[in-house]
Amino acid sequence: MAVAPPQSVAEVASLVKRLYQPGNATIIVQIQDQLQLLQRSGEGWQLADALLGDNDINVRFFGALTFTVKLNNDGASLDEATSQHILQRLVSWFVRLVNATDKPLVIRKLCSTLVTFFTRVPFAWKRPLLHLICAFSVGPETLEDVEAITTSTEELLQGLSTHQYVALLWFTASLADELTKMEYSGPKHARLHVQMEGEIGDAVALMRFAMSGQSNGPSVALHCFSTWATYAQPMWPGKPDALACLQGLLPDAMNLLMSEKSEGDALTVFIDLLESYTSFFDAQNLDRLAQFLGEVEGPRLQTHLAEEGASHHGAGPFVIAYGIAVLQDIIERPDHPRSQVTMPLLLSMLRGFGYPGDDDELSGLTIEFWNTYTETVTDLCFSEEDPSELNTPWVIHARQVSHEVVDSLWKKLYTPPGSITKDWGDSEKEGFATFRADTTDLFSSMYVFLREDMLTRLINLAVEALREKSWRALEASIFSLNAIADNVLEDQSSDRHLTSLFQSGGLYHEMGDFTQKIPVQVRKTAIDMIGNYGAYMERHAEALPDALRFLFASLATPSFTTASAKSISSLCYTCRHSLTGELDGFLAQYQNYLVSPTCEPYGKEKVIGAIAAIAQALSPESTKVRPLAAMLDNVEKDIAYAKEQMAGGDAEMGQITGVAALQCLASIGRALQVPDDVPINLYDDDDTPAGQRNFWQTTEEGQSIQQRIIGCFSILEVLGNDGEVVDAACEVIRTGFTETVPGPFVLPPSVTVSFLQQCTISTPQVEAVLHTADLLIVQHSRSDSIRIPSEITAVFNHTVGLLLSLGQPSTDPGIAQSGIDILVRLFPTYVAVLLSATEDILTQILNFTLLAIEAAEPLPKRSALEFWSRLLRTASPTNASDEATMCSRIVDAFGQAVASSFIRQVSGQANRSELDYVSAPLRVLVTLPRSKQWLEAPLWAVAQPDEVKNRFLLQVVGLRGGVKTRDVVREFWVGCRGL
Amino acid sequence: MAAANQTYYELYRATSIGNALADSLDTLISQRRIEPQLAMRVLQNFDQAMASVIGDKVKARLQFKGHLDTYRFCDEVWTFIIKDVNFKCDQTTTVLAERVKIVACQSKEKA
Repeated sequence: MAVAPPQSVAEVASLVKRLYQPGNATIIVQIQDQLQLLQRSGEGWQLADALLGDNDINVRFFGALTFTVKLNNDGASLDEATSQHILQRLVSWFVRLVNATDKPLVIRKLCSTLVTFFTRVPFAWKRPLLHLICAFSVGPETLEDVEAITTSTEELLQGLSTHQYVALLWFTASLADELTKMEYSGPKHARLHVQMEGEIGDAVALMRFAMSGQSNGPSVALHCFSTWATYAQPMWPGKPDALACLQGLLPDAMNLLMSEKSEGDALTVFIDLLESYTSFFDAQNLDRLAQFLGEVEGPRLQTHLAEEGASHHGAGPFVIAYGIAVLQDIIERPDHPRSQVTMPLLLSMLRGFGYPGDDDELSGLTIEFWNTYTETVTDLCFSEEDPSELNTPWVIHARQVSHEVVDSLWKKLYTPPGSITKDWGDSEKEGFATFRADTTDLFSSMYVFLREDMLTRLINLAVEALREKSWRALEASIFSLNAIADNVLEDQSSDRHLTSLFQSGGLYHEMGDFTQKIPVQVRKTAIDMIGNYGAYMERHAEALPDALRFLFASLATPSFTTASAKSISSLCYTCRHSLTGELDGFLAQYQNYLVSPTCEPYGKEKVIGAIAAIAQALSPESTKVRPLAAMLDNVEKDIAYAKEQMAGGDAEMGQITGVAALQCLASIGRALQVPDDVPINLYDDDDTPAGQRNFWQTTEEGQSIQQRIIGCFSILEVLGNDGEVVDAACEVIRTGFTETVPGPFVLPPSVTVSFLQQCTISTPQVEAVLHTADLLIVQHSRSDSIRIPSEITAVFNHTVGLLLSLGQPSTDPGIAQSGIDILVRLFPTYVAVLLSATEDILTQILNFTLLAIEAAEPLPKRSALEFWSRLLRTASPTNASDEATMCSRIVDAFGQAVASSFIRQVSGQANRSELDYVSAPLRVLVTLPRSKQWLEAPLWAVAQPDEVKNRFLLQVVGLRGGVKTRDVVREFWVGCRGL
Repeated sequence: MAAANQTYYELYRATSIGNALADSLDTLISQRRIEPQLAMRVLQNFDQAMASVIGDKVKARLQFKGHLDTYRFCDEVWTFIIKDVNFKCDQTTTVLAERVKIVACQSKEKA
């Protein structure tokens, strides 16, 4: 039942109360509509005034809100007398409700209403803050001319209660907050900003008074101070007087740092100011803060670190913010008192006991500082043109400090023993992992400054830990080395340092000895290290046997399977050329793994891919047949087993086995792709016999391998209705698409076509199959590829069948989008395929794309718009081909419908985010001869003034497809939407 | 504290979620359910929330390596164009891109 319009203030109040109570959403919306109607009505002022006197807090809030709505809507057109009357009512309510100690919800809303009055009404509200102060002192009604008052603001404030000056602080903060959002430049708000300069004196007097007050006064005053500083930062860089007035409050605010009650709020404000507005502090203020740190907060923090470790302490973030604010001094003037006070505290925060993420909250926070420190030091060093400057005392000091940081963080990276982690929840684990990740980034930056010194230090720590079998120290060292791996490997001269760790009988010899009880995390990090230092191993094949022996042995341990499979893959991909001799051994190891209890799909896929990568490095192609056949044996066994499971009624396991088998096959396919960085022999084409280049399609051995790969798709006969299987099969086919030379996975196009032809709209993941067909068209559209019109025709016919069987694009937007994408890809190479369709089919498919443009689903709409862009472009009179002529005929037949569809979109049907997509085909359409005529008819039906429509048409046609059409379309759309 | 008042970049309005929000707000304005000023305020809150969530809550990280082709620093905005970029996501996935443009803005207003 619809909500009836209220007939009295009491009924309005009742509706407001219902609005703020939980209830039926539809009714709430209706109530809101009724109330909004009243708020916008002419009686809104009186209603707002009446509601503010209600007993209910929500109704009073709504009263203040109604004043705000009225001011926003009608404030700019008020005459002076009315505006003065409204101001009088607002001030009167403000005083009355504050004196009645009303709830902050209402008072704050009223503050915001007063600020809206200040900003919206065209007549200046002179000295608003003083006006309100006087209204409390002498009463709102008796006040006539605020500027005639001779009593100082400070004196007037003396007589105010805490409630009164806190309310004034809320108003003052709200004023600064609102004005921060208004541009300084430009005449619109210039008057208000000039007034703000005049307000700062009263605002500072009020804040100073409140900072020395009781209750929550200092805390609210600090917040107000922070808000004014935020206002001043962009607005007053050229207003030194106003700024100095505000800066004059800093000593008062600093005093609050030493007040037990306000310390927390004061620290927050100072941290914020130091972080975001450093220049607000002059040298004297910064020195006062250093003194405060040195004498008060520093000793407190040191005691806290000694007694309670690096657990949270408010001074920690303050030291960090201060450190960043005076960073230049800290770096370049290590003897300066600011540096002397700050640096020991920052280093101490890294040395407090406790584990990051658990009882150590400070070391993680300091990383932000050390990142900034390192970046600045590096920048300064790199900007020095004279190398001798790199040995200046400050650089030497910075290196020394950085080494201390590395050592401290290295100790913090130690993984805690099980006795500690057993009590850890997700948040502690996540916190510790985040700390380690942040340290990784920091180490990576520090390496740029410390270079070899850092590498040798970490290697020494690792070697020493290895010798002493101090496993956690070893783990922290190799974790740190992993962090800098990319940087280290860029410089081959670092290899000599790494040898001591990777040499035969070194780290991986120890790790591979599974009779030793080594913590799991140590071996995991060691496994990661192999992946990270693959390039080193590629250059030092002597390091490979220990590493690979360790990795294959790790496959048998459940907690290492995934990581070691990943590292085997990474190592084999990187060092494929050094490992060709090991291929048979690896195949044998893989067979062992397949029968081990830790064998799982991810590991199988990764390891078989790794072996295939080595096979890829074999030459000539014929030598790849044997290992490939061995790998296919495994895949085929899995396929057969999946079929057996399905036949035996175990559909779930059958599906898992089938998907895994196809994923292994895809993994082999990916690994066999020719790497991008392979050297090109310019004479290769002349030297390599043609037969060898086409080995996989012309020789019996090659064809046999391809037939076996294609044979694996037989799994679709039993699992064709499973989306994951369909996806995996598509993945296998796609692995050959990127290849530019024949290979075992470069399958004939007919394989893709026949796969698609087996699909209906009810086939799961049919979008993936359509996407694969889409890629086939793209691959065979390249200038150097073979044209396959008959296969593309088959793809087109089946796609059209799928689209038409959908009926509407909204039936399945995914299929609709993928299908239309295939139509898009036909341009320009295979446009003849589209044009060869019968008139009936063509009409149906074009109508389908028009439906997609009209539909609510964004993705088919975008594809359809792209399709029409291409079709219209092909029909352009500048094209002289047969296809152009035929497209032109299509456009003649569909031009009116297409133009109508575009106009519906630009006149409000499309969403804002779709406008660029709609503009694209429209820009092409207007280049065609009859476009103006097509656009006119639907445009006149749009409910907009004639001059707007005329202007739009003239602009769009006049721009002749120029980029600015987008702006014209956007402007017209905004008008049509009424925005 | 100043975070509540700070002006935030509108970068994230061009993301999928930002576009979806803008479209929804447009619809609400067209239906006269909300005022344009409220929509603007919602978008400002969105800018703030995105900056804060991406800064504080998102833990995902990636590393990338490539050839720096062009860089510039204009109006406090860094632009880098990098070619042949190799992204490593959490040490597991590798993504290659021929050309990447990075636009980086100050996360905090500096004085």
